[in-house]
Amino acid sequence: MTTPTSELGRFAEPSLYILVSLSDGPKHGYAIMTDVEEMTGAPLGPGTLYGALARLERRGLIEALPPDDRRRPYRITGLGATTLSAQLAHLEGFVRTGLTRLGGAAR
Amino acid sequence: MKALVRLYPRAWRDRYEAEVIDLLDQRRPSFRDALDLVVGAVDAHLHPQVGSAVIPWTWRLPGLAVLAVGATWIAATVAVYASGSSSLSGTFLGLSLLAMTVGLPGDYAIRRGRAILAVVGLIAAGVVVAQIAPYPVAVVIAVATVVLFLAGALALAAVRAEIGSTARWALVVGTTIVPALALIPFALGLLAIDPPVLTIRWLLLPYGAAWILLGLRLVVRGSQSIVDPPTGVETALVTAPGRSA
Repeated sequence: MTTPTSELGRFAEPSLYILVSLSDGPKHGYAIMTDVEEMTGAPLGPGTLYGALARLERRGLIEALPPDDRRRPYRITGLGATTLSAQLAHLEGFVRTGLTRLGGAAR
Repeated sequence: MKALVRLYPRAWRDRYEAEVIDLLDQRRPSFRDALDLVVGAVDAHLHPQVGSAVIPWTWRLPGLAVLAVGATWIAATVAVYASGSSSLSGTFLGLSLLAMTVGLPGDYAIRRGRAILAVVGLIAAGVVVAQIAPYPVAVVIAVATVVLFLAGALALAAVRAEIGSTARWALVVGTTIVPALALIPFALGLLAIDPPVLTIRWLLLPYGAAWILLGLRLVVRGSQSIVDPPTGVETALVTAPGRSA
């Protein structure tokens, strides 16, 4: 059983964004922040970003790599990738259901 | 903006401070970022993710009780000022004593048992002497006894909140002894009271504010409560990775 990000309370959504951001390769904090902003259009505050990073790291969903000066890159772990995959599949099913119902209502 | 990072717990800063400072250096932080950092700092204290120590919820109780002391003290002062009578203040001050009873006991009370017993003895002696001494000595002793009780309780709360000795003395002298000295001329009738007693009650508001400050610090840091077993801090902390969100 993987750890769902939904148990992270108000950090669930930022955590999902971070996992998606890291799914194409390691990134440090600022790169994650700008990437998430490009994906969602909404800025991720520094307190929220590091609150979510700390939770993801503690749960083994991401891991820190050796720092490059003051920047420390993070990468998604195997558990993190499995969790993200399950979350996205769940969301995909949810979106499909919603669109189907919306289409049915419009007809 | 970078100063806000100092609001975070030591363990958190050891792990993430350099990264966050680097991040703040790379973008122009907004007011929203500042607010986000402050909220994040509160969260980092309440739900520590770095290190293995998780504070049990019962350890928040002393801080909540100390907060209640401050709130009831301020409510009593405001009630007297607003209603023009002291009947409500008695209720609030009674609640304040109840909250002190819940909030102050802890294992440190055993370590400082002799000092606490000495103060309690002095207060008891002051109550007796104030009953039999002639005026105006009785008034001075009565005020001194009340001040000793209030200052002693506040000092205990400050010890429990792990305030340094210099700040502890400043807090006790500034919010208890100085206002009490200002009250003595009124209590002895040396100064006319106009408007009546109500105005000088405001001198006591800082005392309630001091309890509020100590309560906030205690809630964040956590401290052994009377419902916890009498063990040391190290053994009472629970190792529970992933327990708090």
